Amino acid sequence: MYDRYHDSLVRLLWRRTGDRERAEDLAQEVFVRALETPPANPRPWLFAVALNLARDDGRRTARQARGLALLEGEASGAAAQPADAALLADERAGAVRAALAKLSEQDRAALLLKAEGFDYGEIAAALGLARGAVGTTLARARRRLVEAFREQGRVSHVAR
Amino acid sequence: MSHVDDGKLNALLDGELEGAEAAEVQAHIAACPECGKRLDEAKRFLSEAADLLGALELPPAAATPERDVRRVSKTAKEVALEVDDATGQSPAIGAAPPERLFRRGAQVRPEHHAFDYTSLAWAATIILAIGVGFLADEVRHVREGVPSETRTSAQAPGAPTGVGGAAATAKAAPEVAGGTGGAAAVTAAKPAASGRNGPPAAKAPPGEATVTAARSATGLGHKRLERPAPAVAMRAPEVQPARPAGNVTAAAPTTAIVTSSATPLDAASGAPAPVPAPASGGAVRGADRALAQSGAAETAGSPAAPAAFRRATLEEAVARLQGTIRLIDGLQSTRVEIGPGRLVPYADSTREVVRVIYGEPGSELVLEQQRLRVSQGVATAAPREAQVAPPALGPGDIVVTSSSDGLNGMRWMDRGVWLSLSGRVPADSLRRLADRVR
Repeated sequence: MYDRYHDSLVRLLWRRTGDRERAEDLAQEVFVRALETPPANPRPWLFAVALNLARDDGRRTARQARGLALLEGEASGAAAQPADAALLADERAGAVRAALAKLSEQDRAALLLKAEGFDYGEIAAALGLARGAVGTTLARARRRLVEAFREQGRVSHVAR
Repeated sequence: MSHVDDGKLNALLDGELEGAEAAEVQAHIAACPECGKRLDEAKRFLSEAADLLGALELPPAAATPERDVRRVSKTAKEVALEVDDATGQSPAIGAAPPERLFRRGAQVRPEHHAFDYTSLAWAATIILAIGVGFLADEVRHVREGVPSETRTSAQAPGAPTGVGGAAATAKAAPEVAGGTGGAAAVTAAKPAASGRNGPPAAKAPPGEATVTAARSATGLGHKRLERPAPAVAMRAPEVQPARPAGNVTAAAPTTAIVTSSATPLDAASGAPAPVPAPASGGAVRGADRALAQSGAAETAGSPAAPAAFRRATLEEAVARLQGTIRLIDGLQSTRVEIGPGRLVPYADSTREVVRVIYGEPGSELVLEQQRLRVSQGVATAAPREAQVAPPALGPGDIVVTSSSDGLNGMRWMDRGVWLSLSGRVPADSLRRLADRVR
């Protein structure tokens, strides 16, 4: 189970958190939980737990770093994920992550799961959606991600 | 058919529509320009979104810039301490104020870059110079066959008198006491070389120095074991000579000298010893590994003893632990093994260890346990070895160890049982799991 899903899980968590080390830690935590309650259908289960952990972890970090973010005068998009901003090497990756941060939790999760090769049935199982709702969720998520990204490009253009 | 919604269009593009439904949707799109346009739009969003996520490719795990800086500065500091004895100066630290070295990469302004790199370059040059000198020295002395630690003290010609005194003691010791003395001298020479308390260390006979070192190692208690190397150096002499169980004769030190001079050499070089892990001791590393290796080395001396861990039934394990076994509440164990204590770092090497393994290879959790000796007087085979497990661990103590490759470990004692839990899980998860050991 570990060998099969570890890399994919870390990649998803890294995309979600922007922090490699945190992604590794959260992935380990997911596997520990899987040891505690072995899931019947591991893939959706592992990724659903991972996304929940990332969300909780993100909230905690956001609370801790809110004051700091104000001081550093980060862009409003990045402020939602302040810990990430410090580690971004690539401007484009930073903009993508900021755009991703503007999506709702569910839309973001659906996109990230799709990027890991999940089919609609698995996405539905991981997120607790009806299978028929996955297409709509993905349609909305893709559109919002692209629009948020373009919007950022405009803002930074104007700022310059 | 009415217009096709975005959800269906995306499902079509993702290949998630059943044959009949897909055909129906495609037929509609072919006949409806508006839906055709929306399909094109959906296609663009889909590929662009995939592109954007593709920009978030996972970086290689190795180097985050912050860690590199920290590692360089730490090494520079260590070097500065060594230089301190000979010259009275700390060039590496002097060249770069610590606060500059510790600055986080993202916050460093451009004008600081030039300065940081220069000072790091200086530190690197010094490290390199000393490293090359050390290696050259190493090669020469290996050829001459001089035990490494004795040489370290004897070779500080410009050092203060205190150090010289310690060196003299260190040098004399092996001649007097044979194998044991050689290793004890290592401990005595160490504090003197660090330049902190020259004269007292010089006055103390090797035996006493060993005791002091042991105390300070015990004092680690709840702290993280950052550099367990001294503990190894301290332990090696006590363990080695006593091991060849049964024939405690003049012949014993022969093996002992070889192992005890090899082990501190690894520890003294400051780097984790590049030692192959023992056959079944997967969860062993750093100083633990060095210690385990000395155990493995001895196996050659006593071929009769079991060499590795073997599968066992739960009943067997319970019998071995005199009636009880500790398990992680709520977890299903994968297997149980029993093996010699000397393969398990810090365990009582005269007794067998029961190992309960959870999870699959790669993400294994290993719970090792051993019934503590009730009265030390009974077993006469190696009374001194009984001290091996307890000194670093008192009742209620928890020792947490951690390595850079993600392997974390905890050791503690609970109602007469010595326990060690390790695995590639975050330290706080490990702690929670340890709380559930019943």
